[in-house]
Amino acid sequence: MKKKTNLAILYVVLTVLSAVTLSPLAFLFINSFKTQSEIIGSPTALPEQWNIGYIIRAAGEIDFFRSLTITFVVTVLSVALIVLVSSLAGWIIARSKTRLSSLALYMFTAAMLIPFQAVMYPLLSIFETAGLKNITGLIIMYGGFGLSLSVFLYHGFAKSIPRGIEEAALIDGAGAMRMFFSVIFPLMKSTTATVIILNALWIWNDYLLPFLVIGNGSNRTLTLELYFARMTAGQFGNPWELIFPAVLISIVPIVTVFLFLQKYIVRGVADGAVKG
Amino acid sequence: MKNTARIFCMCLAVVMCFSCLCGCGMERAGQDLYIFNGKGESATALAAAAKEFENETGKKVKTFSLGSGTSSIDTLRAEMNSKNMPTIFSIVNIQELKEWEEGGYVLDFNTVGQGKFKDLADAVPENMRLTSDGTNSYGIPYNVEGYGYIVDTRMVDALFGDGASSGFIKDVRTASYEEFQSLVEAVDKYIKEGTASSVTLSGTTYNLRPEKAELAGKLTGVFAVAGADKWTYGDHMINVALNAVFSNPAEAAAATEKQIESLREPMLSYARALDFKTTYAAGKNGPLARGADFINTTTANYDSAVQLFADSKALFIKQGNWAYTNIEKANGDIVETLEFIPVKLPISDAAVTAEGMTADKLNRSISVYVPNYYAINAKATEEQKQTAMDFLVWLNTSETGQKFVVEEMAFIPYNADHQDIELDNSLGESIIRYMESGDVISNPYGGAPVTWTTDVVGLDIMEKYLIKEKWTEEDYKAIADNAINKWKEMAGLK
Amino acid sequence: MDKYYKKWFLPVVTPAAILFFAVIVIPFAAGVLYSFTSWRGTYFAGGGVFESFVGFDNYIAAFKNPRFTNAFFYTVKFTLLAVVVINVVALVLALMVTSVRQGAGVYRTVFFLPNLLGGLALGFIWQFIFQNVFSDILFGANGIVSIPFLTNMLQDSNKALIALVFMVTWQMAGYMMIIYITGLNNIPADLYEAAQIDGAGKLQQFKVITLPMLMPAITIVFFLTLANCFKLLDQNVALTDGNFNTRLLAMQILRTTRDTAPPDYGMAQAQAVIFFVLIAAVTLIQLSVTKRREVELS
Repeated sequence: MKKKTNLAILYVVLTVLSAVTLSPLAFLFINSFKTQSEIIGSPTALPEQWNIGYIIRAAGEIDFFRSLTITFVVTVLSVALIVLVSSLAGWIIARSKTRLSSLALYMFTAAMLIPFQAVMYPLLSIFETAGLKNITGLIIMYGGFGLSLSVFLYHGFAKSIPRGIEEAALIDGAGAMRMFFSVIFPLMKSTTATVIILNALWIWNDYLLPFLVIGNGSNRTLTLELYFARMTAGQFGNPWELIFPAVLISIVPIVTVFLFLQKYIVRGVADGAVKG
Repeated sequence: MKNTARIFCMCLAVVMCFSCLCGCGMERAGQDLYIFNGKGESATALAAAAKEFENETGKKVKTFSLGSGTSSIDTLRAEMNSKNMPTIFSIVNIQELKEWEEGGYVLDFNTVGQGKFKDLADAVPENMRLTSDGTNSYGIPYNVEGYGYIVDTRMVDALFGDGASSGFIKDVRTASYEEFQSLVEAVDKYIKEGTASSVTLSGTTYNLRPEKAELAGKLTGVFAVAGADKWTYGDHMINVALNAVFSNPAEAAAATEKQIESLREPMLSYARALDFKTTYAAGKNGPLARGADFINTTTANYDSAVQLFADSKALFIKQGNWAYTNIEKANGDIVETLEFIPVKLPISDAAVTAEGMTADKLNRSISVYVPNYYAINAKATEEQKQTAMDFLVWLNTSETGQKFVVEEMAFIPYNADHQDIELDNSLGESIIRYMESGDVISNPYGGAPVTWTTDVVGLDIMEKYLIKEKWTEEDYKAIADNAINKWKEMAGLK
Repeated sequence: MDKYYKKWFLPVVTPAAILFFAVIVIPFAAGVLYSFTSWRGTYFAGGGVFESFVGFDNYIAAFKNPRFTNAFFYTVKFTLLAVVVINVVALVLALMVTSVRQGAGVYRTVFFLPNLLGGLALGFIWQFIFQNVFSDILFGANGIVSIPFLTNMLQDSNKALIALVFMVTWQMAGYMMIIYITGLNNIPADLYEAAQIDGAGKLQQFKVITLPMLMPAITIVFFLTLANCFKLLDQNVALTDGNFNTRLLAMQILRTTRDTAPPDYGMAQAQAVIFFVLIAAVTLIQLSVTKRREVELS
């Protein structure tokens, strides 16, 4: 009997906490259907009319499908670059017992702690000189920034893989690259999932780097479109009737992806992190 | 599992192809003129003007626009570090000018040879020039903007009887601070208790309607105040007080210790006027008293203040003509009938030390000034500079250029004969009327040490006083002392 | 075998090294160099890099700047509090979610969801929560329960700190919870059974079994939260924008260039270097302490 009451209490607590967690999102949702006056005047009330017009207008204003595609391409390519480069590096650092390799590990770890502000301007001028102030440059920058945490995670996981597997593969005559991709990389699936999620979330929502690199160019990401839509709306004040629906539609893709893949994502976060 | 490897190789290949495409696709320095525009709201219009200029001259123009303020300056700096520097860029005020002047990025128009551009630069009125020492000249104004208390003339009619507004606007403009004060008190009593009294402004008496008209019944207070947006009382209201000592931003930037000291009286007046104003603030469902709610960032910000005014809950809002579009969005019915009246201070002639300024002139004028300048990059090639000059001449003197300025950008041109201009904007019209009569003051706050107005004085007021129910003489003194001490400190005079 | 790895080390690590040097090491080195000059963002006052060399002046000026020292201590305070709160909340959530059978997946998803969001609107939403929902509807004078401390939280340095912790916990706890859940699931059930036979109570079981077995998870959660909280910027800007002395270091560095004209990028860079040293020191200490505990306990 006591156990049952305890469980009931647990459910109540969890449900309340879930409601609290979701309330900011509910707020975003209901305000995506309101006029500016309604948002300012009664922000917590339900809309007088569920007018989908604001969402449609916002989609047009931020050139939704185009910017979605660009954001998608940038995120996928950056994450692919990070996964490719850091899985190799993490693995070989874990295997090689030289002083150089432990130095490399320290450097990658320490780099996680560098605040972005400390490298921002020199970084931009270096990339400018190299002719890389464009989407390619942006992907490379993401590659570089995502690297350290990812190497750290891969390194942690690779340590736990027995070397015997590799030795066996080598005896079979496989080259290092082939051996890595056919044997080791599949084993590190869960870390790969973590690396993908961590980096994809950050890159998808990032605004400062695209802002500095692409700026007002034609290849604008979602966050950038949103920023410009807001900026050109007026000198002061915020056009909330544009911002809320725009934010709502810009998070829909990533939430959808998450809901579909959550089983893998959740397992990935967990496995990858704990073994790291 | 070989698949994984293949997928990755493919990914890599895609990255590389994509890089190539992007790299090749980018237009690198493929233009004759690159304009960096720091005024986001004119983005579309400027791009259209550039297109037109392209058609007329065959030169290729690229424009890049960002909203005024913080991030745009970061981007401009990043662009200046690049090989592909803008040739025309915008500068907000003399403080922002400092870095471009020190870094050698701005072209002094005095060094330009005779020609149309020289004529244009020389024709910029003295008090509108972007200059660091009074002789050099670094900018062509974008336009002029102005601010004051905005009032809806329909509301005036609703309060004082139909047709009262035309006389009222004229009389309140020349009224003394004391008269303005009794007007506010009378209207406040009318709102709260329904007591219909009368007020005298510049010799004419106005009677409040015994029966409240429908519109007047909506009022919850006299002023719509954005307590959470410190620039509203930091920058703009302080600026009125600064006009008592400095005639323009350049003077403020070069302020001597003595001049800063003579700001004490005007700053005391400012504190008194702010105390008075914030005592009669409007709220959503009734008057809004000073306190925590007064600086609530969600209910007492610029947007909410505009909303209150647009909903006819407040008689006045201190804002500029830039607020037109915001007001229009909040309530389209109200925008046709708006007028500016001056922001007044309880100040005596003895406290007004600026040349040619009197307390009376200060209180009957609104602040009209240049919010942004086009500057030319001194590090650009001679050819680029020439194109830049041609563009600015075209924009500011040709008929097509002016059409873009007035109609597309909805700017009040700094140089045009104002009688010829048809502005589709009640606030713009109102500013022009003030300019014609000469009742305008300047924007010395643009020359005050950077962040002094907002992050020092404004913040101090927000954090300590707007949450305080009653202000005392000591509080006024403390506000003025802080302002003066901090200015001296920031200007390196202490 | 070691020889084999040694042979392959350079070719395999090179792509990462190139990226790393181009994006982080070289710009950071340049940044450190610039912190000793009067760099203005687009030029060096007085000529080139070396002409404008000012030695440690920027560092001295940084420590003399009350805004910087204030932000420094505020950041330390915030991070300490946030790391503890996020960890406790995440662990409690994990314990609760693993104790229910039905609907565990749904709860897990819900708690994770805030991680997916970022950006402009979030700040505004949270302002509403603190300024309206908290201040009026829930804890105001006429609210459901009147708790003055929880009203107007963004108008006081200490209360704003707690508000910030609240918001950050909302965002990060779900992610950390997942890590803890896996850690909990990895604990063999027979350990608990054995403890029960020995007569250990729930609390004792938690202390003797759960916590030690969770040590690896705790290490990684501490590391992630520590690094994220130290570098926190967006939420800080969104909630208070630094008013009421609530600038954290990341924002202080960003704003330094706007506090003066011409902008003092040299000093901003010096602050960034100090910031890096602080984060690095704290994180390395934390890592070595928790790692050592892991070793002791296992």
